[in-house]
Amino acid sequence: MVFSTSSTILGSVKVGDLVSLNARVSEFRSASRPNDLHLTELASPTNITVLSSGNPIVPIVLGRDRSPPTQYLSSLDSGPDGFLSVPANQSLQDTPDRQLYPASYGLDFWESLEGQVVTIPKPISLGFGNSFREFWVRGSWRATGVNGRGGLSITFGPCDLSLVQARF
Amino acid sequence: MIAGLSSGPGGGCLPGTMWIIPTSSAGCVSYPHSPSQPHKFPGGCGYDFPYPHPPAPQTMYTLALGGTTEATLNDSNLTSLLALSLISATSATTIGSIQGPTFLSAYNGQTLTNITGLVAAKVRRLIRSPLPPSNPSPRAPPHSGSPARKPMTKPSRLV
Repeated sequence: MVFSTSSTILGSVKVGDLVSLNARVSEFRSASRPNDLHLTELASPTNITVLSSGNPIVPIVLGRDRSPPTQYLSSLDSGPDGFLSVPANQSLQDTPDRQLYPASYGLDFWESLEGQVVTIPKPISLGFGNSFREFWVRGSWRATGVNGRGGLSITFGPCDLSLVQARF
Repeated sequence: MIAGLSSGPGGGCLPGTMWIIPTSSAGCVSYPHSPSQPHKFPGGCGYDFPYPHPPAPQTMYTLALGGTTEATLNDSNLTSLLALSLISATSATTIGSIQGPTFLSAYNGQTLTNITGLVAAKVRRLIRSPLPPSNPSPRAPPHSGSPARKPMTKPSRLV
């Protein structure tokens, strides 16, 4: 993800452009939200050159091309109650940095999709949105924690993290 | 659009950003099935599912930067350079190699040149003005048709 506040830079490219640029790699996390995962950004972009235009963007169709795992949240969690086991204190998933296992762990799966364009087939809202118009959804992929109201129940033990936050 | 994964609300798409993605499967990240079984999937970014032998959740995988992951990145870079050689005569760094197979980028803090990728989306965050009070002002007549509040645009990083 390229971060810039320059309208000149943002206006110099359009979706479908193949570009090259210089930038500083940055792992961003708000200082006020120290438990969030980092976002990899390309900061202070310069020398943006459009190499070609009109290239197709092919989204990854979740549930078809890839499906989220439904058993484990993270390899850091241990014990009979999974991510709710104590002592826990493993909320900082990337400290220290770890290898991703997207086929096994929910957090790793979503992290592996960072910066990707995806299609969520038949999204079902799992709650009300926040002030950023973000809300949690699940798509038409296999989920083990679906409850009677169509939501996802998170319980002790294996954790179904087959949900994603979306913004519309 | 995925707005991002966070532990709570507010962590999401950043304003004034564009997403650039690998230009081909050569720029994809290869995720191993286990530390001892590196696995690269043919035909694009992805992996086999279902996972045949999930590691036990008790296992902790600690990344040693400069170890096996370094080798994986180097392999990926090499493949990417070959794939992009028709596009640019100079060496290019791909988005896939920057993101790498771990939570954090191995290039964190480094300034890179000739990063090549495809613009997949342009995002500018609009911050709404505060929600109107649940109880309208007694001076405001109902259904007055007053103009809507102008959204506040703040083109900067907010989350």
